[in-house]
Amino acid sequence: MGYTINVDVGGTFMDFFVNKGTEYILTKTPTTHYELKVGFMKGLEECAEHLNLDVTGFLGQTDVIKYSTTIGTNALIERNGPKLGLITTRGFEDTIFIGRGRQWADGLPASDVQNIGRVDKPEPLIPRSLVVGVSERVDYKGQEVMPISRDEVLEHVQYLVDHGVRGFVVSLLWSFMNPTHEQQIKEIIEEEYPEIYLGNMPVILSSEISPKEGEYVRTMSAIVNAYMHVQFVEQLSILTSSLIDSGYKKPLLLVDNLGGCAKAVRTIAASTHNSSPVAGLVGAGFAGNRFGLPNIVYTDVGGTSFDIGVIAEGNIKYYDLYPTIDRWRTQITTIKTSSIGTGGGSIAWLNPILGNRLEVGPKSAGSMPGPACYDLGGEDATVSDADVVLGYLNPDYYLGGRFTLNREKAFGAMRKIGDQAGWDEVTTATMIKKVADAKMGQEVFKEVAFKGYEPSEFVIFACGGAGATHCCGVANAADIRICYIPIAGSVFGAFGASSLDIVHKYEKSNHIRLFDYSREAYAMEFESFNRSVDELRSQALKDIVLEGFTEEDAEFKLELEMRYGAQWRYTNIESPLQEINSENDIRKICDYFTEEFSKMNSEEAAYPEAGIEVETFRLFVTCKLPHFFSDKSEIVSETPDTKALKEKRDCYWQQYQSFKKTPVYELSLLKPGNKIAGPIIVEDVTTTIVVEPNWSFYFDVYGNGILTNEQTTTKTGD
Amino acid sequence: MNDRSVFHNVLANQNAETPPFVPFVLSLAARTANISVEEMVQDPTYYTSALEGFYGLLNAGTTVVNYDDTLESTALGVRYEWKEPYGPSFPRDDNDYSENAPDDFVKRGRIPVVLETIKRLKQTSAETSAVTCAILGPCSFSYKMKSIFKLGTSHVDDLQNRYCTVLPKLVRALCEQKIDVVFFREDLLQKDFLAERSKNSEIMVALYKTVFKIVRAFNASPVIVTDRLPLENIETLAETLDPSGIVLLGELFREEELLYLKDIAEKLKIALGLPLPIRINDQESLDSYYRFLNAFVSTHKMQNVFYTSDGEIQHDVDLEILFCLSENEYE
Repeated sequence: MGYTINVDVGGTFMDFFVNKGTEYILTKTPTTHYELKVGFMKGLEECAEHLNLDVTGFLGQTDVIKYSTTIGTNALIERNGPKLGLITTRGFEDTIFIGRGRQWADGLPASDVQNIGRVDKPEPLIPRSLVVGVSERVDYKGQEVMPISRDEVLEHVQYLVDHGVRGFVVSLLWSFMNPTHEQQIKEIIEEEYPEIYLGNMPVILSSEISPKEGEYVRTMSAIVNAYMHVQFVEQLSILTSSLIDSGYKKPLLLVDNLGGCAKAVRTIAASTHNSSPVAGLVGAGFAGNRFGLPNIVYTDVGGTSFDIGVIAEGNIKYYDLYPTIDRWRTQITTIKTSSIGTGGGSIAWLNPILGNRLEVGPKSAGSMPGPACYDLGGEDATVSDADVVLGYLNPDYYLGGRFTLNREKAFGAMRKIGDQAGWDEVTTATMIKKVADAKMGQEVFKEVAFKGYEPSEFVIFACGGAGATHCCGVANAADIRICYIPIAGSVFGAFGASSLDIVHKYEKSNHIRLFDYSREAYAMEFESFNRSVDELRSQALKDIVLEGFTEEDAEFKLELEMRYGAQWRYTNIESPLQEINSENDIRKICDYFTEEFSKMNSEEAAYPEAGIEVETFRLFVTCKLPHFFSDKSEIVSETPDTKALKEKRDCYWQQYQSFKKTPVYELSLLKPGNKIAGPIIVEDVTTTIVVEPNWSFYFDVYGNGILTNEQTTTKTGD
Repeated sequence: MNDRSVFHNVLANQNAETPPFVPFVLSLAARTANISVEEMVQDPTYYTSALEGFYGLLNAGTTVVNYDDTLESTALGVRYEWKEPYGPSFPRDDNDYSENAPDDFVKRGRIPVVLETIKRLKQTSAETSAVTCAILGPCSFSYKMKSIFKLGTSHVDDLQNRYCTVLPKLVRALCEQKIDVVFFREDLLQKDFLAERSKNSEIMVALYKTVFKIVRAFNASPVIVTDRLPLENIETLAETLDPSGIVLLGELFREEELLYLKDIAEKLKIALGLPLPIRINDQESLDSYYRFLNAFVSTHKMQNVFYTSDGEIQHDVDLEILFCLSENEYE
């Protein structure tokens, strides 16, 4: 068995989790936004060093690299994608500019949305002058009404090329029912403008990226993907070449936002958006399953953002069918996570509109210049600076001492903001911590409560570099009593990647009325239903063979987007059957839909009498990969070894309103069964666990740290 | 191993095949491109092609952009004039001392030209050759400003403080162009560098630590260029500032000195730039000095050594000597 390398790119750090059987190592390197390959290779060097190998030897012994990348997202954020042209059906050239009624609000934080007077529509990724319409028509059944004219297509393509276009998006009406016209346009472009003349100019078809109804979102899905595509391909090619040069001979697997991974050549750029929190959430589900935890709020406090995902009753069951990527609503289905701009690098500022109230984030210092204490030229006060001032972070032991923090600069940054408000450094730092914790805690509470669950029945998985530092404060604000600091918690996105299997998703819209309300009869459209599933299945089989697996290795799961007649929104369910041959089969699916719908929205809301329809078929194929399992150890003792106590240092505790000499333990020297009452600090190479007064720390048999609020009353009872 | 990897390895104290040669040029590049220095430094197209042409001619794998001690002051509003096409530039008489260090420092003066030149060189170097840049260190900068404006001590301190605030921004802007090495020139002060540094020791050390951290965050290497630095001070300099390399201009080494440098470089894990004096009257003694250096380096397997020119190579140098150096001396 060789090594599995899992890499997760964050806004501030790149996380590495390398495992072989039950052994593992982890490391963090600063994110090199200017070229992700540099940080990637640096991280590999550090991992190789841990294993006393050189990079070539290390990669030579590696079976799999799973990479959760932000290359595509960065291209979109920095707007450095190629100049694109859009080819659409004549008469529909303005669809993406008209957008939806609320297009202007997509991707904006609530505070900006409320400021209607100042909000503008986003600058289009394709200007109106580069949108052309071709005469063609396919009807809603997929029948050709008007054929395509080769000459007209060529004329439009020539126009786009003459205007400097470096990539084409083709999105025609009803192409998800019949993609022939889109495919014809692609063939014409490739025939008339072969790569030898144009170089790398992608032709992206909406029917390939998102074969579902909805002109605007389908077109935007294709545009967003095309915009990310060129950078994505270029940077991955450079990285792959470097890996090959360094001795890696296996394929590179990319983590996607549906909780799976696939070979780089079989991954679309847009599906890597937000893959990191999704990988973490899947990892939390995997770990929770092993530790017997059905209800988990996965949280990841990185340098830039705070990501949240919910696992309820042992399952990840929340999907985002219309995720917003940057400012664009798409329909590339993803696992649902949410995010707010609060992390270790979030900048504190005084809001003059609210009487100089202290706010934290969403602006972040990122990895460059980073918080003031990083001493890379940053001057603004951040959450990490506050942690240094309050004594929680050890300036000499950040990242195990590889990255020295500058305490004076942290104090300087506090002074800079404190002077404006009349606070001293410690008060400022306390305020920053309080505001950040409260913001994150409220978000956790909302995420759980709005899904119909009681937050106090959940545990928090506190992940990310700063997750363990702030989890007590977050839990207090969210009315949660238990926090898990899982093994590899500081690099949990990368750990999550290690728990992923090869997953591919295939979608197709095909409207079928399963139960007709007017006749009060179940439909007999077995063939249409089965044909849709078979089409998706044959695509899936082709792909898994190309991934190096056989049909026997594959597990299929069919999901259906269904609704009652006259409903606007769809509900996603896992179909109990993948093939239907009788009215009884249809009844089973309808009953299951009603059961699931009732669970989600109450029995009163279910209304099968209005008819039941299927709109979209979604087939998942999964091929299992080996996973990391941590060993279960024996309980040693409740009292920690004296060697584990490193020092006592001054830390500020709001409960005491003062600094207090606080015991600092080394995590690697704690043993299963050790239980220590707060306030304490537990340091590890990649994170610092802050156990506040009234909380206790327990080191369990799997290597997790479990923090429990020992107060008998919860927040609501206070 | 390509030239870029070789230079990276030298600075990382890893195995490099041969010590790379890093010549410093400005006016000579202009001369070989047949344009004046004034034209060259104000136009990234000229600048890029002149540097590409010169370093290509020499077959040197490391390009040094901006071996020019006037760049930073142009961003503070100082204007220069050239009296000859390849001669030095002089500050104009009508320059005013400005109290303000502009926030958009990196967008002013000729800094955008240098940034654009680096960007273009990086695009064409195809990752096989190193692109580096030389800028003034804070001590040399204040010395330069003092000499231009004839300022008193308080003004110079003030200027130095303000340069301290903009230097991290300048370094970051250079690094964002994916530069390989930043040379911090403290050679203008020659032997007085250490005295100047110790005057504001705490500020200087803090500033250098910050900018070196920035350079390293971008996977580049910071190197200090000194002139006539007493060899016994290398250790102190390396320990307090922690550069990846120190260039020792103005020296002709004897064997015992080289032995000392070898020990100190191994102990401190630092790369040393040894100067090859290009201009010397006695060609024969120059040749024999090169042979002596090469023989020493190859015999003692010094892996953390690179050669540089002894300061800027003047425009009127005999190109034959340079060819000889690049073709033969360190193969």
